[in-house]
Order: sequence, then C-alpha cells, then structure tokens
Amino acid sequence: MAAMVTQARPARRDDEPVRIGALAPLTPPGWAEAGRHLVAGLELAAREVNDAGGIAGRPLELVVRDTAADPRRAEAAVDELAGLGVAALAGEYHSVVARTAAARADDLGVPFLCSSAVLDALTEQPADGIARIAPAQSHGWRLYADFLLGAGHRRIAVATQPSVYWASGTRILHGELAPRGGTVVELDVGALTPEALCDALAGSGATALLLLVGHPDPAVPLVRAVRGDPRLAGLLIGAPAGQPEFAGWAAELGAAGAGVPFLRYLPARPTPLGVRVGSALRERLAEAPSFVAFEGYDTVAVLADVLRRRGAAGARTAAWADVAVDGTRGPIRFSRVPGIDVWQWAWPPVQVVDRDPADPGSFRVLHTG
Amino acid sequence: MKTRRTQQERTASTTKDLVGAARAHFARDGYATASLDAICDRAGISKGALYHHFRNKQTLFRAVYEAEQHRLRDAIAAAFRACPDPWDGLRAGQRAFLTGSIEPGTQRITLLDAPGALGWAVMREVQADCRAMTRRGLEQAVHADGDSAVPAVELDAMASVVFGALCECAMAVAHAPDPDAVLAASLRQVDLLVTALPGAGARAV
Repeated sequence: MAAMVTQARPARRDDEPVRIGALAPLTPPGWAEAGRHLVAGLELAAREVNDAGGIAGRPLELVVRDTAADPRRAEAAVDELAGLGVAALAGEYHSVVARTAAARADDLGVPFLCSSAVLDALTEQPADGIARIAPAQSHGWRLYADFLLGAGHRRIAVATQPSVYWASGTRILHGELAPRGGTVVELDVGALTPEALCDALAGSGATALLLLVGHPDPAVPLVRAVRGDPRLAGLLIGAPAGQPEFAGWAAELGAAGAGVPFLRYLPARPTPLGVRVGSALRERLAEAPSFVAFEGYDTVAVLADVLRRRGAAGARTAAWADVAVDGTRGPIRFSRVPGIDVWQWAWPPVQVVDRDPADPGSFRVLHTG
Repeated sequence: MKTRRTQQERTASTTKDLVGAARAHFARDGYATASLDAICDRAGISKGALYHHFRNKQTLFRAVYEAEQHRLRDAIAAAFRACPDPWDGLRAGQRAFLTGSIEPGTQRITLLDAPGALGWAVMREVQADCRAMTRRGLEQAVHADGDSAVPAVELDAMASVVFGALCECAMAVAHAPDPDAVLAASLRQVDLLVTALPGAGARAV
C-alpha cells in the first residue's frame, strides 16, 4: 500500500489523447438512426478540433459506447469510461438512459454534457457537473401545445406507452392545455390494438392524436391504421418527440407520414457555421442531417472549449457558467433555469415542422418559438 | 354583455390558480423547499390571499395531493369505461394508475413527499377514491357473469390486495434506477395478479 501511495504517476505524454466518452443508441431497441446522427456530429466536431491543433496540442479522442436505450448499459458504460479516465462524457438521445447516465456521472464526479435528452428531471437533485444542450421537454412541448391551440385543437388524444418520458410529456400537455380550455384523452397502446385505438378515437371527439410512442413500432402501424380509417379522415396526427424527422419514417410511411407536425431544434435561418457543418454532415451521413447531428457537433464544440480553457483535469470541475461558444444554431451559454437541476442552454431554437404532403422529402415550418 | 362573477366563482378561480402554481413548485422543488412566496408570485396573488384560502403550507400541499389523486382516479375510471369487458377494464384501469404515477412531478408529490408531509392517515383518506374505484371495477368484473355470490368482505380484501400491490409497485418504480423496466415488469405482474382472481381465469389474456 505504501508503495502505491509513494509511486509517482507516470508523466503524461504531450501526445496522449484527451478522451471524451460518448453515449448513443446505436442498436435497437434504441433509436439507432438518431444515434448514428448524434455520433456523426460528435465525430465531425472532434475531427475539426484535432485539425485545429487539438486540446493544447493533445489529440481529442472520442470513445463511443452503444447504450441501446438501456439505462443499465449506460450505467456500465459510464463506469467503464470513468475508469478509462475520460475528461468528460457527452451524448445520449433517450431521456431515461440519459437520466441514469447523469446520476452515475454525478456520483463519479465526471462532467457530462447531455446533447439530446430533454426530460426536465434529468437529475433528481441539483448537479453542478451536468449540463445540457437540448431544450427541456417542458420548453419545447409548451411550444407544441401553443401550436395545437393556435390551430384550433382543443380536444387532444395521446397514444402513449408506459414510460417516464411519455408520462412527463402527457403531464406537460395537460398542464398547458387544461388552463386554456383544452383536454387530453389518454389512450394506452399497450392495452389497445391499432384497430381498437381507432375505435376509441372515433368516439372520443378528439381532433388531434399525438404519438407518444416509440418508432418504428408501434408508431408506424398506428399511423397506417389511423390514415386508413375513413372515420378519422380529418384527424391531425402529431409527434412532438420528433419521430418523423428521420429518413426511416419517410421510407416506411411515404405520403402517410407527411403532415405530422413534430419538434426540431433548428433556427429559422442557419448560421454560417451551421451551413458549413450541415454540408459536412450531409456528406458524412449521405443524407440530410437531423438536428440531433447538430446537437452532437455543438456538444463537442462546447467540451473542446471547456477543455482548452481549463485543461483536461480542470474539466472535472467544469464551470459551465463560463461557456461562451458560437454553436451551429446560435450562441451557446449555460444558466440555471427554474425547475431544471442541470446547467441548461436556455434556449436552443425550437420549431414545429412537418413533412410537406406535396413533397415528403422536404419540411415545412409551421410554428417557431 | 359582461357578467360579474360571483364570490363563489372568484374563490374557485383563485383556489384553482393557487393549486396549479403550488403543483408546479411542489413538483419541482419538493415540499420542504418549495417557497410560498414563489407560489404566490406564480399565481399572481398576495400572501394574505393565500392564507385566506389555505391555513398553511401543509393544507395547500394536501390540496395539490388531492388534485393528483383525483387525476389518477379519473384516469382509472376513463380506462375502465373504454373497455367493454370489465376484466379488461380492470387491467386498463390498473395500467392507467401505474403509468399515471410515474411522471417525475407526480412521483415527487404523491410518493416521495406526501408520506412525510401529510402522514399515513391523511394519505389513506385522500387515496380512498382510487381504492374505491379499484373496488368498484372489481365488483363489476366479478359480478359480470351474473355471479353475485362474492361477499362484500371478500371484495374488500380483493381490493386491498390489488390496490396495495399497485401502490407498492408505484413506489418501487419511483425509486428504481431503471423506472421504465420496473414499470413494464410491474404491469406484467399486476396483469397476472388479476388473472388469478376468482372469475378472471377464463378470461386470462
């Protein structure tokens, strides 16, 4: 034991990489398409950091771990990455997974910049080492409720699966709609077949159905069932969590997947950096980049800034309040927001968009925050 | 033509605003740290007006807790009514109760803070509606085949078994590191529990 205490740590070599642990869903039941875009953004930014000289001359290295929408895998990955000595953690798309990762990272004292998970209660208590790029669910979904009310919808049905994330979304919608004369009718897809759900919808008086369910299953069969039911011809289908954003949605549903409003976190006019990064991401992904790819890019851009200013060791006591980075979607600063226990970029741009029924490959902006 | 609101309507409106504002703060900050000043600011009323409607923080919290329980009770009832078969309705009602309990704000108010803030006796009194709804669902299911032989005392016991299981499952989900997995497993087990009740076997899903 004495030998261990007195033994000098090996001198750090100047070319030793600064590691960032990256968490993303890359296999089902995780939303692998989102994970692929997230990692593309993280990797592009890391390459650009290295092209610009790295972190004080040391290369930045991403160590990616697949969380597959499984909080236990995420917890194990955080433990492993902390053991590898990562300077910080980044990423994750699924809220329930990010919540577990954030709790573990906070326990271990490893800074975590969450790129894409929106659950308000990302941590159960104030966590100084955790920050978030994505907007909180209550912020984005409030805007979505404004959009619904503005479009004349008062009675909203939600098709939900049992999950903390969807339950939080339902509660936010209820809280926003009820004081303004709206009502929320909950339909549990775990207990109803798509046909039974259509029957319930037809008798519900709802003018909009929101899909608070996973993609592709059961979202895709639900959309097909609703679109194919003549009783529901005038019903708006919405998906605030953003399922229609990805190419897989359009590929599986074609025209039936158009006209489904969802939230995405892009500005009305891209910044010059956003234009350049968007082109590079398009090339890397061989398709149009999702906003999730931009979130990935911005995450590494922020972490590189912190690491350069404070050094790799200093990042363990990351001071998120000092961050001032021009991201792909606007200037990024972190602050304390009431109701959010992590440092929050308040706020990234938020839009409600849908795929154009006349051209499902392109998007229409319906509402902005 | 403008119509003047009655005193009763104004009181109801103020109470609703206060409970809504208090819900947001209790969900976010917890019972111990939620500030009455902040709640008044959010509701747009004075502290004096708050004390006119609620004796203290605890009574305001009780009103918030009651509203949460009423929401769960209504979710159970709506899910039950949506199913033609009362056994399916019973299962749907249980799913509605459990899934309605997992939103983090609801968890904080009903599962984490209420026991300490209100005490067991008050909690049980307020929960009586959800328990009664479970019993009513059971009664309809058990008697669906025209079998009225199940005595009330047995129905009470069945309601205790089922509602007790639901509350314990909700508590387990609230404290789980992987709440979605625990919720899914709880829903499966509660389904099995219902299947084992008298009269349900033939309709097992």
